[in-house]
Amino acid sequence: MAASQNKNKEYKNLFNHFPSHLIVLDSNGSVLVSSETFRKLTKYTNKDLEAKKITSLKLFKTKSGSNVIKKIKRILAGKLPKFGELGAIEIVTKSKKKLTVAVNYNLVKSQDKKELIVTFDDVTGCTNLKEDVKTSEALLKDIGALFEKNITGIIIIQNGKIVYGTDYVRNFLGKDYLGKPFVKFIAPEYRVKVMKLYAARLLGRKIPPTYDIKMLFKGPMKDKILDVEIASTLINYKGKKAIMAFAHDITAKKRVEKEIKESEKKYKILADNIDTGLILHGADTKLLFSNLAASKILGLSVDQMQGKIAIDSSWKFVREDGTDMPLTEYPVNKVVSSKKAFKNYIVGIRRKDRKYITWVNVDATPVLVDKALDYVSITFVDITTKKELEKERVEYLVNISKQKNELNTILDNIAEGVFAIDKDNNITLFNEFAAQIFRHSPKTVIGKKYGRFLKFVYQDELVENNLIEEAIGKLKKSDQATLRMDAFNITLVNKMGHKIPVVFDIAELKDEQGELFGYIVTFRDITKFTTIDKLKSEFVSIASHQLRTPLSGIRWFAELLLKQKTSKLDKTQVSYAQQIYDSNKRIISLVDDLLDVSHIDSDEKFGIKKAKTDLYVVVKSVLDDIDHLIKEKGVKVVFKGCTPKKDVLFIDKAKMIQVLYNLLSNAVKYSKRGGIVEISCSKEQRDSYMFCIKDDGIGIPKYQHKQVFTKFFRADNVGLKDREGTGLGLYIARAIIEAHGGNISFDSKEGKGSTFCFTLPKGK
Amino acid sequence: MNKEKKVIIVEDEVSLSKALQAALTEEDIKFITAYDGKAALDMINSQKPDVILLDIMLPKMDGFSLLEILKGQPETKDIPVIILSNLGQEEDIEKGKQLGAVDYVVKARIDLENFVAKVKKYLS
Repeated sequence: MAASQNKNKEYKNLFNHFPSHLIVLDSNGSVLVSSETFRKLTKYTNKDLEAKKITSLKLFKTKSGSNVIKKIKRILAGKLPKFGELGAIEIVTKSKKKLTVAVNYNLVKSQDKKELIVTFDDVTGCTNLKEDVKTSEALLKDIGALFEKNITGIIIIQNGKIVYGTDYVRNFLGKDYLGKPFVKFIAPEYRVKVMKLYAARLLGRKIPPTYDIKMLFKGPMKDKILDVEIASTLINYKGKKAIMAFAHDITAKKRVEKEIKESEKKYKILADNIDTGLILHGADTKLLFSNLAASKILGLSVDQMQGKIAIDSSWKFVREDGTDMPLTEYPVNKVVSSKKAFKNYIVGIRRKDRKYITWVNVDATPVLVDKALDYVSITFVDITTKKELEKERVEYLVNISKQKNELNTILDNIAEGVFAIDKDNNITLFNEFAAQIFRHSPKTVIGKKYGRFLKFVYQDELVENNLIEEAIGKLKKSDQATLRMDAFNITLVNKMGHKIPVVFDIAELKDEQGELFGYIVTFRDITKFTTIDKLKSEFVSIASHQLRTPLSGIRWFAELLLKQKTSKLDKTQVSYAQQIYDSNKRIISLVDDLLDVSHIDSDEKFGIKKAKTDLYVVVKSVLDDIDHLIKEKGVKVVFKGCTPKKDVLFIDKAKMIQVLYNLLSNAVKYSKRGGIVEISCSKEQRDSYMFCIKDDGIGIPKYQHKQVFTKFFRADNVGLKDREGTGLGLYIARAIIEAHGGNISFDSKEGKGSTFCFTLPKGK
Repeated sequence: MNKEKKVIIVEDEVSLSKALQAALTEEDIKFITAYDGKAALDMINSQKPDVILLDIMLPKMDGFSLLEILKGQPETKDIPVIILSNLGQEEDIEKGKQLGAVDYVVKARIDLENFVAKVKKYLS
């Protein structure tokens, strides 16, 4: 409204000062405005004219005047052309002076209303003309002065030529512009546009009230191109139609506009190219601006957001705890009510196109002008992924700590010492059991070098931290993940100086990428175990010595009874002595076998001592040993495949004698009287020998085949007289063969005989 | 048999010593007896027997220690020593032989007849 009022005022002002004699009529034929010259000419005042109907004016109370008024009515009714000449008429001034004036009209539209500009040229006498021109020029100067302040130049164009210009114009157009075509001063690219407008103006057609062009100036600011805003009007100049143009220098304005546009563009580019959502709300919470990121994050287009207010249902916000957010807590509303900025406000958004909640971190700032809220600026960042990750991380950490607790509980409750060290030899884990044994609390040792606290004796030498280093070295060489250190040689020395025997396992600690980050050591207190082992060894020693001593006595005295030259025993007594002798021998071999078994059970290798051994010699010595048995049974022994000094193996001779003794004595014992026992020895693959002992004896019942190599095995078909064995021979034989890296097997048919075969690697 | 030659029976178990004595007597082999390690050392040093039958588990001084001393003395180091023990483990046998015993006999595993034959072998 203010603008249009201004426009009106300006308009009135313009016409008021117009050099032509003119009046402007509204569509009803009432006078809107009159020019000062017109009032001067007619002597009527503004009061006399303004808002008065033209028909009521005494001015036109002449014959020709009433004709003109009739025509004006028709013009206003649109029945005549929009502009034209109405010819010369007689008018009567207020001072009753009669004047002849030429009348022109121009029907224009101003703010959608028809206006009729009527100009009058005083043609009363030629003598008047000079005066008139003078007056006009003076007036023009006045107008020029007026517009000078507004940096507005005025020119009048008639027949395409500049016929008048204010002083100000001269600055730009140079001295000699008068009489030159105005088009010369228009920048070429605007010439067509301006010519069209010029023509339209001349024809009285509606044209924009102002338009921008570029002008070429030739004056002191020679060849300068300036942006100018043009307003023009059709006037009557010196009795002819002319265009009066107001040129306003808007270069500065244009520059500012351009700058604003550019900065706006830059701002928009900037705003649209950041990940942060930007939103500007008015004080009424109406959304005024949003950038691309805002659209992306909120899932709403600019159109969907623009103009929406805070309570709009487009937004569905959720609190950080997942509950619905009340309107009062919406970021805009919070700022509007508090007029305070806030940061890091977490808001969840329920988007229509997503099942999950989009999380944003919101910063909001009020823009205050004179303490009154003008805008609310809101920026926000999508933290959905971050929040998800955070959630996962928290869950992961909770899980980890749970697992860690569980693990710690387990670690602290197992009867095994556990400690871990990192690559720099610092203790990273030390469980309760380790603490009890070492007598160091986990608090004091964790994070410190293990060498200070964990001392070991290895093979009777105090090795301190070298033991673990050595174990690590062995572990690396072994290509395995874990390593057990020899069970009976390690003793740890605790804080109190107590020595405790331990079994010691070490394993590498690797992360998910397989990167080594330390070692874990588990150890067991084997004090009890070693005590038991000691007791067992002692028992074995006692059994071997103390049991054998009286047994030796029985053996020898029975022998003395049987063989002494001075013996006076009768036949029955001799047979009794023989029974004592035989029974005693059985006990002795039983003791020997039991000792062997106890060795086998406690140690897989049970003291195997390998040396170069001639197989032939071994077999012969066994055959010598059982010679009496062979003869007794009348068995034929065939021995083939072995050559003295050629078939030399790297084996334990005594143990191999034991094996062959057991197998051969069985073969002979269970052979039929006069049967054949075959011993064959053959070189198998490169470094292996196959040994077989075949008899044609009683064989082993099929149902017992599975138990043949078990302890105390006795075949059910063995006769009473032959039951004197201990049932340990085959068990011991198998253990010895296996300790040599060989295998033993058999084939047997009851009543037909048995064949026992074993393989024996040649050894080194 | 050369009547000058004699053996010493170092055996703390009286019954076993008696059985050995009986067997040696049968074969007319002269012998002296000791029942502990120290006494045995004294007798060996003073009487210089031709063969020593030595038990291991002895009071006062065990058989291995005695053997070590004997092998360290020039006047006794050449006397053959037959260890006669019921310690039948490989280690014991090995140790005895390493210390210089000519033979190692496990008492429970040998008949007197065979044993005396061994003694005779070392006496001659």
